[in-house]
Order: sequence, then structure tokens, then C-alpha cells
Amino acid sequence: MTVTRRIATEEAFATPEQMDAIERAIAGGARDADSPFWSMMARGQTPFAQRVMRQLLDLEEERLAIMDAHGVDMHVLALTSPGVQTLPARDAVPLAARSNDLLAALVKRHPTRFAGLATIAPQAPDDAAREIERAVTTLGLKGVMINSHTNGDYLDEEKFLPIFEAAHALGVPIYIHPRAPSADMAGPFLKYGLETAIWGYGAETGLHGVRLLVSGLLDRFPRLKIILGHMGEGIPFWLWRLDYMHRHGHGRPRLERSITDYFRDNFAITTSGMHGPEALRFCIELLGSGNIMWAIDYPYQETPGALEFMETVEIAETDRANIYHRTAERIFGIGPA
Amino acid sequence: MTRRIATEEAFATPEQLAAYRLLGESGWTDPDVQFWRNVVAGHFDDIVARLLDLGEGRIADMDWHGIDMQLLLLTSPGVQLFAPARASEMARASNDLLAGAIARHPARFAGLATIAPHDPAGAVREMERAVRDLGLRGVVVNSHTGGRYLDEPAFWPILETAEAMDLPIYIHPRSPPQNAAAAYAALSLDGGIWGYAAETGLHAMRLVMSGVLARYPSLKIVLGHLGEGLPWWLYRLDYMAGLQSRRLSRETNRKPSDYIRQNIWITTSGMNDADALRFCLAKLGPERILWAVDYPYQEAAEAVAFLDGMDLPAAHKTAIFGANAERLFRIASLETTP
Repeated sequence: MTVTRRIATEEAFATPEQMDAIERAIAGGARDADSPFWSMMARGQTPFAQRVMRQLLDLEEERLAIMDAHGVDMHVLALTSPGVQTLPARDAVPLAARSNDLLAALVKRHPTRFAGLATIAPQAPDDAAREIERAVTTLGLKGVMINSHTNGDYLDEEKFLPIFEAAHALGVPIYIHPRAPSADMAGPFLKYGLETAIWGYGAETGLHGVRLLVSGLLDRFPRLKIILGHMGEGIPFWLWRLDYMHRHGHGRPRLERSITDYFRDNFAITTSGMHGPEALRFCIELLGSGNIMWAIDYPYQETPGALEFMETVEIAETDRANIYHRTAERIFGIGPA
Repeated sequence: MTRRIATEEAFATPEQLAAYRLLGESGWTDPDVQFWRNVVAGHFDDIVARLLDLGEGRIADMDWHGIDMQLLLLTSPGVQLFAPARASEMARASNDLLAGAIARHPARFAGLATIAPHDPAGAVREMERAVRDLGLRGVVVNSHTGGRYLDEPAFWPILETAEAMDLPIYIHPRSPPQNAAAAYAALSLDGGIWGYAAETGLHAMRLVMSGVLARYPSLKIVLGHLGEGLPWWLYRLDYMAGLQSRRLSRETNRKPSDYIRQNIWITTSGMNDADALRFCLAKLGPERILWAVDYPYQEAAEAVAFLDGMDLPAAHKTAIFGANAERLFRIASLETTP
């Protein structure tokens, strides 16, 4: 094995309070397309559900032991999807703050092993902007994670501007993490469980990324950094066509630059759940390894698989080092080991 | 000399466009209806003229670009916007018109039959007629029909007939169903820039995950735009299907990628991108990829220059440009054409 710092950048945890709130929402008749998954998790009847729920709630025992066993130096942690975004704003705002406090305390106990991304409640944009500022300046968190749509609304909508103003002013990235498609578009996905990670997460989050790319947001906030998991949620494969169709299209805001330019300069991607060598090499060639970070997606996906992929995939050693740690150090402002 | 057969080439009939015009005036806000409302309103007269031309103008364009043959499809969404009985009637008329053009230019045109999927019995009859009487080479279905997808049992007679008659089904894009399109339409993303592929890729995934490809193992499905995103996701599809194996294992224990490699062919329509094509070659192999222009929506010159200019083994280029289409659509090779 190569000896290099390994920073995993899309790593999930949960709090008992969050899980209780999600379960209560489902019991109360929540109809969003994430509910079937969390209902399955709450019942805990499969080995997968039991293991993942235990590992989400564990912060520093089993988690650190697994990291040690496999040589993972650091988890960049975020509250698991859909965060607090399915809850009423009056519950979501304080829950996000308490979750960020808990995360900051954990990072403080293990500053070389954990970094954290703040959870916010986009459904209360002004509160969310204040929480970003508090989380970064007071708590030392390194960015923000938002789990795609919030009640079917997407972040390019005008009401979410305070969130981007805060992140842009503080110079912290926003990680758009998957969740199931928004209620209006979810119908055709539901029949075979396609609303989940096998297809719907990528469809939902890729659409969200494309909305941000074509919306003009990146002309307003030229230093903004958006992070997408799962090798960019399909967007890299489509960049040629996105550029072509955008040039020939109409009905969308005028942009100063091409879609590919924005994607290269304002986006970064992680390898979470995408262990195909061809896809990684495609992205290195197109985007450069300075825009790519390693991720496990612990505990939904298992550490050995993500590690084996990154250890053995045939790429230049400088690219491997970038993906394992240098890109994350730069984008999140994580200090040297 | 490499034979160039373009495999996702659109035409329209005057009857179809007149009917689209009436739908546009009806106030129906379906995204495809809105698209056609703009086209027939005169903003895209050059496109309309090229869609309607099944004769000299089209052939002159093909000659100019060195294209030997177009495989013709009634432009999307075909007859799928109309009530079942009328849609079947329009499909018959369209297929007759297409067959007439092919009869006039048999060395230059081949065609896929239009059907009304929401009239399954009529669709089956039309598939039989279109092949036996008209010599068409397969079927085109423009993704969903009224928000319904081909994996649903109502459509199984169509799949059964296609398999029995060895007719490839080209699942051509259209916009997501009206009630699912709002998140795309907000920024005009419901068309070729993103929504078409989101809709059509989901359709293909439904076929893969529903078990119908185990039920009809010889079914041949064709996807444009380098497979509407499926090749990109192959690793993750298999991994995630393994986690939720209950869904596939009812029918079979095979992986999604097994079905994609067994049942799906892809074309290069609208994806003149060397990196993406090389990616697909690595994942699926040269025998599964067909060349297409998407005339008249995209430029033939770009599609020709793209594949001409790619650094590929000559045999791969010949396969993608035409030999794979000859085999899949049973188009006589030049050696056997008088």
C-alpha cells in the first residue's frame, strides 16, 4: 500500500434526535420519496438496516476502529441525508444548530481524525445563513451540506440567496448531497425502488447541479464552490451535450461562460459509491484531479471497497495523492497532517 | 469505403404537424406540446421543411455529407399525444408514407415503424403489417405514453411481438410526463439539454429493473445519446442492485449490467464527444454502438467529422458507422445490394 494521507469526504452520521424526528414525520404521514427508505431503516429488519443505523449513530468507537483498521486518516462528516430538510422549519432550525454543536464537539475531541460540514435548514433561508456563519466562524466547520431539494424547491430559487451569500462571503463550499427525487417528479421512479441510490439519487442531484449551472448563480457568486458526490452525479458524462444544447437553446438565463467552464472552476466532485476506473479516468482527464476527492460514503458503503478501488486504480501517483487528500485540504481548508 | 448509416433520423408528416398545431392551440401545457407549439408557430421553419422532406432535399443533404443511408423515425413524440384509436390510425398513415419514400429510394432510406403503445392490440397489428407489408426494420417508441412505461403489463404484447419478430425497439427521448416535469421546466431543462435523457434513461432503467428483460431475453432495445446515461452508471447499478437484490432476484439473479449488455444497443445521436464515446467503447464494446446524426435537429457535418476524426481501429469505425446497423436492422450490406 502507498503511504499517503487518506481523507474521506462524504461520510455520514446521525443523531438520535434526528432519527426520532424523521420517524415521527413518517408516522405522521410524511409522503416524500425518502420516507420508504427511512421507514425500512427504522424497522431495522434487514442486516443492512441494522448495521447502517448502528454505524450512523456511533461517532467515535466503531467508526474510529474501522478507520484505524483500514488506514483512513480522516472523515469529513455531515449529518445524514435528508438532514433536517423534511421537518417543519420551527423544528429544523434548532435541530440543525444542536447537530452542528454536537459535530463541532466531536471534531474538537479528535481534530486530526474528523472535520465537519454544517447542516442547515434551507426552508428557513435567513436562519440557515446565520447558522452557516456561526458554524464556520464559531464552530470551525469547513463547509455546508445540503441534501438536494427542500420540499421540492431547488437552490437556484431566489429565496435561497442568503445561503449562497453567506457561503460565498465565508469562502466555504456547499456539498449538494443526494436524496430521493422531489414529490412531483418521483412518480415514475417509485415502482421498482428506483427512487433510491440505484438511480433516483443521481437523477435528482444531477438535475439540481444542472439547475445551479444554468441559473446564472455562478455569475453572481464567481468564487462559489459546489461539491457533488458520485463522480459528479452524471454531469461529467453530459458536459459536451450540456455545452452544445446550452449554446443552441433558449429560455434560460444568459451566462457569461460555458457550462464546462463553470463545472471546472466552481464545482468539485467526489468518488463516493463510484468505483469504476473508466469513470474516474474520464473525470481526471476532463476536470483534473485538483477537482476530485475520495469518499467512502460510510456507513452506507463499506470502507474496504472504497479503499481497494483507490489503492489499485491505474492513475498517476500525483492524481492519487490529489484525490486522497490534497484537493480536500485545499477545498475544505484542512490543515496538514 | 466505410458505409455511413445514420440511425436516429427524424421526419414528420403534414398530418402530424397539423395535429400538433391544434394541440398547441388547445392550451395543453404538456412540455412536448409546448415545444411543438413553438416549432409550428414559425420560429423553426428550416427544421420543419427538413422534417417534411423525404425526397430530393434530404438526399442532397446526405450526399453533401457522404451519408449513405438514413434510418428514419417519425419525429418525437410521434402519435403518442393522441387518443388510442386515432393514434393507431395516424401511425398507419405515417408508416405508409414512410414506406412510400423508402420504395422510391431503397438504397438511401430504411425505416422504423411508428406505433400507438396505448393501443397495444392495434400496435401489435401494425408491427406485423409494417414488417410484412412495408418492410420496416423495427419500432420506435418515444419514451412514456401518458406517463406510462413499457415495463407495465399492458404493453407486454408489444414487447412479446418485438421479440418474436426480432424487431428492435428504439426508445427515443421525449420530455418527462407533464406532472413530473416542473423541476426541469423551471429553467427550460425539460428538453434536449437534460430532461430528454432523464426521462429516457429512467425508462430504460425501468425495463432493466422490472424483470421484463428476463421475460423477453431476446428483446433488442436501442437507446440514443450514447445510452441516455446508463453506461456511465454501470458500476453503481450493479452495486446497488446487489444491495436490493430482492427486486431483481424474483426473476433472475443477473446484474443490471448483464441485461444492458445483453439487450441494449446505443447510438451516438447528439453526443459527438470523443471522451464519452471512448468511455462507452470500453464499457460496452464496439459491436453495441451505432452512429447517428439526429437529422435535422443536429448537424450532419458535425456528426460525420466527429467519428471520421476519432482515433479508432478501422474495424471499430466501420462497425459504428454502418456494419452494426446493417446487422441490427437487417439492412442488406452493399456487397449484396445490386
